[in-house]
Amino acid sequence: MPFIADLHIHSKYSRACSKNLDLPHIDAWCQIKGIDLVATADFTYPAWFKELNEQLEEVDIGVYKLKDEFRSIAQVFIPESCKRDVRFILSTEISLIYKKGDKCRKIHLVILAPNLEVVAKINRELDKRGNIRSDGRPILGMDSKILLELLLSISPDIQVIPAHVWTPHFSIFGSKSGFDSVEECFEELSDHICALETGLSSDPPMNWQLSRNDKYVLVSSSDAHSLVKLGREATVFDTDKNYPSILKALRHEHEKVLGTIEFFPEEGKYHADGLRNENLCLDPEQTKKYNMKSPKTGKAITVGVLHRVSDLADRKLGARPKAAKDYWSIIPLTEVLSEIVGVGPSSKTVQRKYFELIEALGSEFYILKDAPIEDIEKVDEVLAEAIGKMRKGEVFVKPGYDGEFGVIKVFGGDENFSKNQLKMF
Amino acid sequence: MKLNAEQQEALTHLDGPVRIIAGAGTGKTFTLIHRVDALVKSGKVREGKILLLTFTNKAANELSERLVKMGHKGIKAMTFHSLAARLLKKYWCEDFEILDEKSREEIIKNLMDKFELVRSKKLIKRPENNPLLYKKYTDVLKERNALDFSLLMPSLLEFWEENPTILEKCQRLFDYVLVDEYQDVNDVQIGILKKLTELHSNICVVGDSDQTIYSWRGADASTLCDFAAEFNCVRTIILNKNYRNPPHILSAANCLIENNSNRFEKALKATVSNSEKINYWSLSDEYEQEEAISFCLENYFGAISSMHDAHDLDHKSKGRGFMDLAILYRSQLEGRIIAELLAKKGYPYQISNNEYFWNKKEVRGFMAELSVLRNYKFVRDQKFSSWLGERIDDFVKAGKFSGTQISRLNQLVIYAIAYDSLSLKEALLQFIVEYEIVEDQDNLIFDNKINLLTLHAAKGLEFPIVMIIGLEEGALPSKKSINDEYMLEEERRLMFVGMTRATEELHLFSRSKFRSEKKDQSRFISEIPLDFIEYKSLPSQRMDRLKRKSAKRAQIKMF
Repeated sequence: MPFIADLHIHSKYSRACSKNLDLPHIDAWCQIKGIDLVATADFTYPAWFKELNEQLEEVDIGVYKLKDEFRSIAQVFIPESCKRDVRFILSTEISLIYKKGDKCRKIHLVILAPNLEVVAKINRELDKRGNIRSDGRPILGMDSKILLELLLSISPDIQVIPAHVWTPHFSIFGSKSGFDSVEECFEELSDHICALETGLSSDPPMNWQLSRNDKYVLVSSSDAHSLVKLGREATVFDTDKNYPSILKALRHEHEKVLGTIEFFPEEGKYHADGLRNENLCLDPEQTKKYNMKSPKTGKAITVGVLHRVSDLADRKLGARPKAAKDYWSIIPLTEVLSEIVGVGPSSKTVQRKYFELIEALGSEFYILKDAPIEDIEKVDEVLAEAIGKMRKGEVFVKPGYDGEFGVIKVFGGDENFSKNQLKMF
Repeated sequence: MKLNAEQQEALTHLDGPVRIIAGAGTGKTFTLIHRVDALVKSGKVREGKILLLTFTNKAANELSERLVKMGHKGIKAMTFHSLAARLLKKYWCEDFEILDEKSREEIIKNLMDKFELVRSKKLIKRPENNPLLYKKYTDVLKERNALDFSLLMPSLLEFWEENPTILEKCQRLFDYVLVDEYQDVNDVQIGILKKLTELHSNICVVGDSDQTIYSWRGADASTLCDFAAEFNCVRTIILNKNYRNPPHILSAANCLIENNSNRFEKALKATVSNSEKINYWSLSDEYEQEEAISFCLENYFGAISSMHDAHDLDHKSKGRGFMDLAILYRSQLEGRIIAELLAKKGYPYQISNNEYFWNKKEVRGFMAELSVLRNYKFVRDQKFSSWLGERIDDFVKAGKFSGTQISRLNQLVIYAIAYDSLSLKEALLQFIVEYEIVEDQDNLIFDNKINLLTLHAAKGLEFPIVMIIGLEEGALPSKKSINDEYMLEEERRLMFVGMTRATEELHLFSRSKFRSEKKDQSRFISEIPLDFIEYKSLPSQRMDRLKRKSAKRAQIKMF
């Protein structure tokens, strides 16, 4: 049975994260969202690691569930239609800041670990090398390669996945402080890398423009800092729900990764180029025309993901490599509802509507991705039309830039919006 | 790298006593190694007959390593202690035992019990204060055929005294003797050197009186000056071309140290070209200091956590590595404040200590007591570091400790700050475990973390960016040195050592108020001519933020 996995989220112990990101709440919200397997996140943080040990029990090799006695802590109403067994996998994100080749590198990496014993070892080693007690996502001064070497010496079953690989800051291909290739970053250990996390601001077709990345399987995760953002992107696996099978799928059996659930990349905060403080949003051509500097203030323009990808690309947009996987572009359900109702996504009206819908139809992912349009029509005709359009990619976009989220609309917006290209196949 | 004229001169006079005054950053080790190389190449002496003496094992290893790289594998670089131990083993007794601290204490304690003396910690540390006890102690040592660490060098001298033939043998072991960091030698070491080089007078010492910061261990700033008389030395070579510090920083350090009278007169000349002035932050209180340091860190490292800030911060940032920065302080209290700030912000940092910190008796003693508290029932909710501080206070009250020991114990609190985010119980357990696994982690300067060091521990090191905090009267110079001209000079040397650690940028910080107490700016700042100083202040945005924060604090206080 295929299942949906979100391999990169955060707990309440990470900086700027919601205080209710604890295991019982994550478990509850994964059901509402339709996530089957979710990252524990932040396992290097001592207090959180303790919670993991207390509240989780292993149900299959390297895969855990929330112990029943902790369920009631989350006072969240979960409709019958959404109920499922959520599984946890040990996964965390680490921020590396170091110098290589005289340039300052700031790289975020996701680390998957096979079990709690290995995590204990990882924590012990990292504790010696950096400060893991200040932040759920610790900052280390280590070189990515050295960290990878260390992790592999702890257990060969640890997997490192570069996180949101295209964001200008804190990513392996980032324009600001990243590298141009995996090899530049990991050198002779590069073969260990088997998967790349696309991040919100890029989707698979953008990534397909780089032939040298064909060998990597693309994964998507939410990097959620709050419960409602869980699963805003995710990966669909078709394998057994245990650590060895998932690891095998990522490493060798890429056919067991069915594809990814994606934001429209324009919605991501770093899709286009621009400067947030100047309300300046540009496409790559314009930025080049302005010599990478704001025509108004002369400040360096933040180069977005679209630009960065095209700089490194060796294929035209639209090329589809042989091993390419399916993907599903979605707009979060609350945003679709918000457009329909005409009030904000976190308003009471939208929230009420959201829960009515998932109660009637099923989890958010089911509604967005799988539910037959006729079934949705029976509950809400306008929504059915919106979801139909979304699934076909018939949406209007106003791209995000320099930390400002983009906006995606189904029924059209003002003059700032442009019509999205239709799905190419 | 080529030798400069002065360094070249240091290699030309190979025979007889030679004194090399090597100021900070003048290529002291470089010259020392080339002198050894020149000795070997001159054909006067084979490698095995050259002795290189240092103060720490670390320095000995470094010198050996560099010599091996030059192709000299047979030269002996070692510490004074290890020289004494080796000679005693060879000529006095092959299998005498060198007691470690623990066995030494055990013997003394047993004797105290036997002679019904009250067990006092002070007496355990210094049995010589009780002649009877000391006599008995040395008797036991004789019986056991053992020496403790502190007895190695005096015993060697005594042994030579009694056995002139052996002394002569020892004197023939080495034809050339070189001593690194000569400013740190004490009388016993001078005695050994005199005897050892009596026949040939081939002794070359290298050092800098401006970097004598170990008076409390018997070193004296005048030692280098006195060398001429003690060893009949007529040849002094002064290395004064500095290859480390930017000109403004160096000139400032020169001006500062000229205020010392007890020193070997010399002025260092800069060779580095860099127009960087000293950044001086005169701040109103500890909160403003926190903001100023955060501001500096952001400028150096850019955003470390929030992607949202990344754009603004990274534009301005200089993209430094964490290891490029060292924050230096005189007292443990300052170290604690800085560690707290860095821990809160999530910066990776390391506290570098003098060698053997974790092996110090008082540290081991306290940690042993702490591990008994494994199951401690915490009654009050507080930070782990402040709880640990209280335990240290209790520990100190129950025993007798020197100022240095107390300050070393208090350093543990700085380590403890990293555990403050845990529950008390958890923090205690992890802290104990951590202690059990510290091996030789001290002085791991090469990890990419911000370095926190006392000024004492910073000696011999260099960093692109140096910040010295707590430049206030009563802090640096310290309270007890203010009315003591001799100690005041040592404090000034500490400041000098701190300033000359910076290879690119130097920041000095002082507060006019600290914990609600008024403070005067350190006299050392006033001793630096204004030309070399750039006054820094926070941008208005940051000042506004600070004002908002202080208004909030005032509000909290009111309710």
